[in-house]
Amino acid sequence: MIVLLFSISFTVSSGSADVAFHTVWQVIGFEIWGDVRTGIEVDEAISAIIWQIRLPRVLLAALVGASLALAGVIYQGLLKNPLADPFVLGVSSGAALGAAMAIWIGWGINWLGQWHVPTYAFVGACLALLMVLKLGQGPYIKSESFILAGVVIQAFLGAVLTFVLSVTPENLFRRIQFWLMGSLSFRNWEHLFVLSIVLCIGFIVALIYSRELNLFLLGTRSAAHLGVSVNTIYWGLLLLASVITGAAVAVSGTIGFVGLAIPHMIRLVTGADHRKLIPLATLSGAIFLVWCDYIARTVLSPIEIPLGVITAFFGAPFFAFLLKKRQDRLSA
Amino acid sequence: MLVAKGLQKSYDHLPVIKNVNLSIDVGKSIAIIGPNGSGKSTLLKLLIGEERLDRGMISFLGEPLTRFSHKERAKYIGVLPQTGLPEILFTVSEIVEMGRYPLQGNKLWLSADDKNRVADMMDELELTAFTHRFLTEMSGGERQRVALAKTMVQEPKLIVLDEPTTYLDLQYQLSILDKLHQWKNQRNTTLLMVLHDINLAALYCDEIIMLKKGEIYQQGSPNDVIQTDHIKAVYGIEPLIIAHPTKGVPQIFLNGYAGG
Repeated sequence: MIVLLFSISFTVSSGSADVAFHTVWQVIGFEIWGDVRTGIEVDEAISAIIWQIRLPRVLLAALVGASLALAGVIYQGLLKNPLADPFVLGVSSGAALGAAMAIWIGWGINWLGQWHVPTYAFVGACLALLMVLKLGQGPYIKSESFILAGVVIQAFLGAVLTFVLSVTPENLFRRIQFWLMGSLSFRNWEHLFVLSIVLCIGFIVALIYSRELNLFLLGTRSAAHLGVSVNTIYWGLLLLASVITGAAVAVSGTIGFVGLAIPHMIRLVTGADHRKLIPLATLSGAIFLVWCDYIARTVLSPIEIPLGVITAFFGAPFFAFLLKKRQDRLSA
Repeated sequence: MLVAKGLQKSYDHLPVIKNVNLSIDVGKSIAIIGPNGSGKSTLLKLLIGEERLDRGMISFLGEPLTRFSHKERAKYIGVLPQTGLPEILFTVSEIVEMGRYPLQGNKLWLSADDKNRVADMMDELELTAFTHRFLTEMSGGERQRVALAKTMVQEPKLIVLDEPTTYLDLQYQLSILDKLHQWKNQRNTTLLMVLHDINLAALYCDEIIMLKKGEIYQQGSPNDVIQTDHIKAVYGIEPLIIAHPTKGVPQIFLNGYAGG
């Protein structure tokens, strides 16, 4: 928690215009309580940079990172597959297609305003998920069938997306592509608010069912023998993780590897107990993405690297390392 | 303790259990035996409410089994599955603690009392030395002992075992069955197990239910059930049956061509 707070204040204070640490907190105090009670006077330009641009962005990075890591923990717990991540059930492909459609068609932009693309993305994510669940459903819960269904739907939606991209005009094409690579710019306090509500509810529910998630790792039959109402809880949690993912993806685009790598990393430290894993992974996801976003906007400043590139840049080697270690252990 | 009447179950219109009636008394150990496909495992699943009945009625402790919620059922019935525990990143004590789940209420962490019971059980099964060992680092036999501790810490009145010894070495097979037998005598626990090995069933069980194609062919004490003509009718082999030299229960010996 302290690391997270430090990460947030540090990344807010630095950027194309460096601002002192304490100024950051002064601005926050000023904006929340007003100048009468705090007696703080701050430069309006600095205040605007921090309050309007940097802080929402950094907080959003934290929220998205936390959401993706949380969803990743739940998916990996339920599907018992190390490759499971927030996007395994096709949620991201659905969201991507939704966003592309939003930008391409443009319908509803007048009354949805800034929620235009996120709404389309969220609806797309939900539709994709429904298709996967329908396809993977059987008389018994089998995690493999969900994963296979996810692969099929992703492939299909990917093809549709490519089609959409090929028929969109040049100017829209670039917008779609930037969204697809994941970005936290141009977001504001309302986006933050909605995502934080989803994350809070999701986090609490996940924690309440953390023991059941542990029991699912024994196998759904053993969980049932210990008195878990398997069907209700399994589907409920699957849906929960997908809504969290959908909400995160809707505001930030597809940001890979957070939901995959962070839960694995924390599991290596704490073991698989979800009662510890859920809070720690959520927190670490937040910290990780705050720093990734910081790197994305400062390294080549003023050019901004898409966030998905940075996370993949750190996530992929890590994942390769995991894979190698696993193979070494199997061959040992 | 458990009474079943007129049980029927089909999969895809193929009858697997046809009209089974049985009754299990408190403090007895009962074995279900029969060849592959005779419906042993299905019967077991029906009796603990894991599978839905097509027809028939099961009453448990004097009430219809369907009236128990999942959690209530788990307070009375503990199950030791055939496959044992998967290789997952949990420590031995974390796994055994899971056995307290049905008794734990809505609390996220165990109470001191729960923890004591877990510690006692691990002590009893000589697992204390493995407390912080991960399951991934243990052998199949050791993992099955952890599974047994997890099931026992549930403090069930009825323990159900689905071929608990199939994948185990002799030493582990006997140690698990001995332990169960001891609990049965000490705590008046009822044991219901599917066993592949007829000799083990005769050694450890008060009563044997012999299934043939989804129906009870014979039911009774080992002496009543394990007879040459019954075995021949159900398994299609003609064994020698000799009384155990010290225990007196019937044991079967196979007649092979090899060795004259």
